[in-house]
Amino acid sequence: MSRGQTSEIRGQQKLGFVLRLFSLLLIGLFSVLCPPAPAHAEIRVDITRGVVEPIPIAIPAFYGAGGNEAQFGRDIAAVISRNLVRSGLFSAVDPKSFIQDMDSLLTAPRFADWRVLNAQALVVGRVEAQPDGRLKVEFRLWDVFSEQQMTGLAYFTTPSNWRRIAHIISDAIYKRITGEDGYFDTRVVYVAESGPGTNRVKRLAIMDQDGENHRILSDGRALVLTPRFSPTLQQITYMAYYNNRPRVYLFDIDTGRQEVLGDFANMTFAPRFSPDGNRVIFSLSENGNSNIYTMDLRTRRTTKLTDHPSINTAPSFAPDGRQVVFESDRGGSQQMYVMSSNGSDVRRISFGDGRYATPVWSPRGDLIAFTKQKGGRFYIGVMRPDGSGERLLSEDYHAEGPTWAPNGRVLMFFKELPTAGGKGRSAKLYSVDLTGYNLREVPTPMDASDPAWSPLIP
Amino acid sequence: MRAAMADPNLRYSLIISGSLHVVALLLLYFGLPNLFRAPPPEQWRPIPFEIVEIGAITNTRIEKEPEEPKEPPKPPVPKAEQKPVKAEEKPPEPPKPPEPVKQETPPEKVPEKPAEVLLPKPKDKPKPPEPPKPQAQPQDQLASVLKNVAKLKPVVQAKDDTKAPAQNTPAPTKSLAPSLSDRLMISEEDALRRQLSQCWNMPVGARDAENLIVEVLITVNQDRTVANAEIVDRARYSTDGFFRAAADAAMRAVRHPGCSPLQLPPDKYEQWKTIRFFFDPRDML
Repeated sequence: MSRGQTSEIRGQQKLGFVLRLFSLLLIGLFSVLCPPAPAHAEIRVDITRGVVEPIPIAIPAFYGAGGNEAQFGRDIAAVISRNLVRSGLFSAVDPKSFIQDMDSLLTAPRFADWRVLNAQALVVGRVEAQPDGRLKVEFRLWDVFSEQQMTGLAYFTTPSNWRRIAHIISDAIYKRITGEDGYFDTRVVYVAESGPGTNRVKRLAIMDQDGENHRILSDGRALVLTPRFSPTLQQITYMAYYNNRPRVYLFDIDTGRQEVLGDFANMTFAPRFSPDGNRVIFSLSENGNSNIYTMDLRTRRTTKLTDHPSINTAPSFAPDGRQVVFESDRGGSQQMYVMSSNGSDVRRISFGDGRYATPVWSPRGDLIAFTKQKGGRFYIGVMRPDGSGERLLSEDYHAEGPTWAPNGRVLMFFKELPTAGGKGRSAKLYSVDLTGYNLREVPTPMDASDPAWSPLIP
Repeated sequence: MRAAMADPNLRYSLIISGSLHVVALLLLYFGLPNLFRAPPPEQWRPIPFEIVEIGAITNTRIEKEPEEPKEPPKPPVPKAEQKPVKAEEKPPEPPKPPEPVKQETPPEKVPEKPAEVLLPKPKDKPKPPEPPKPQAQPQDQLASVLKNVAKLKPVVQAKDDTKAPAQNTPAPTKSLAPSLSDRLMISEEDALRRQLSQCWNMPVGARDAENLIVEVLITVNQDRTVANAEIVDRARYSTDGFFRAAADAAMRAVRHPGCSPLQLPPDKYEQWKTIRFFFDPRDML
């Protein structure tokens, strides 16, 4: 290596050192000038409590150019308004207070006018008769504060179908604002009761979830019990006693077709459907005990799930079909148990005082509703599938038979109260939000028990 | 070996070596004698503390139990500070819920068979209006907003157990830490928190509501109105319907006319011009 080369290397080393020093200085400077967190760091505020109150929503009558269309517009808006208010999650802004007129509303909402009324959401719709006789119903849902459209949809339908369109729009609004599927386009089957206590007539009845379109399905010659809705089809099972002989029927509501599922002399509740609607689950009593079975509706083959010398009854599938909740007295008192759907892995989930009965797994999967008896009172309650978080939503002289709305948010059940004279009893349907609020009577033309909520109508 | 024993010189060095080994082993076992070390200094254990400015009127977590007073103090503030608009808005709200109920029931009954047994209805009817929210809310502010008709001892205890620590431990640290750097007094932050609580309609009945924590970043104008508000987790907003609903509810709280202008100290604009809100319903479930 020559002298020249070594001095060159030395020079390079020196340069490298200076560069390194310079870059270090730069890094130092940067770290001083640009601290990782700005000096005026934003404030963090945790809001851990709030209010639980209905969201004020303004639903002006849907616009219709002709008299007929205007009438449909008024009716549809009224049904939507009643649906949303009944859910307990919304309050309707009084139409008398509306400032903006319909004509200008169709072009664009003046949000300031609606903010003044404290409306947080606004529904603007219009009804248009089509040349082919059908109706076109369209609506937009506006967020009044952010002045943004939240959703907007249009439907074509025959005029006689306007009520269903109102329910479908209600579901769309409910879903967009709460995040949950709606439950307004649904029906309820129940047992309509009439006559004196000694000779009670129990018929199968059906109505829309809001009490409209009420129909009696059976003639009253047979005593009808415990109707259950299929979670996938407009199909129910129920029990009927003809001449004291119990029979299980499968009934298709849309076609009116009815078939006998079997003569089960030793059955006490009608079967419940599996989540896919292909199987039913039920219990049969044998020598004072009872055990749980499933039946495949296509092959009619039955499978025994429990084999225990105790009472095992009232089974209900989890929405994923993997588990079953049922009541049993195998531990000495009537409690709720969960097992996997092949009958294995049985574990008790209820440990409170009192007796637990008629468990029903929520379609949402997160809760199990039940009837509880304690100290001579009846309660409708919910708990998580692991048995935690038990809450009792209603306390009554006699209450029973909870059924879930298809979105798993609302429960319906029936209450029995002694009548004024004290001789008989009157039974009524009630609905309650799973938060425990918004308990309401569901109006029925006669006494009502054993409600069963349908899935959303396809 | 025999040679070593024979050689006296070697024997001598062996003894020295052996005794030195013993000394070394002893030192190993007992440690070096402490000849030069100064007496051990006092153990300085760092004690973490935070400097928090407390205003004359404060509202820290200690007030958790007497929650009800929190609500009453609020209305006078906005009324004094805000436009009369809001005061007008509120009164129409409470009367509303009962109204629709009344409207709703008769039309449904009339079209249907009036001839049937209707005896118990007049009696039953008064009941539905009973449960409306206004009554229940004040009690609920204490713990869960979910209703439980029975005072079940085990259940209530279990709830309290989980809730009490949850409220007392994490919340203060979260809220104190930022105020250290921002020098926003606890009372000022509490006022803001209380104000927003009145405008936030919580998603209590939603599935897995405890996971619906919404982070909202807002920038504030000098007049304490909200200039811009955005959901931080846009991805989840566009994919998760429940989160979207919860996020919209949080945005409605931030934009609520009843919460505008925000209750912030006007002279500390630099400190509150951006605020990161966490809407978290866990404690109320």
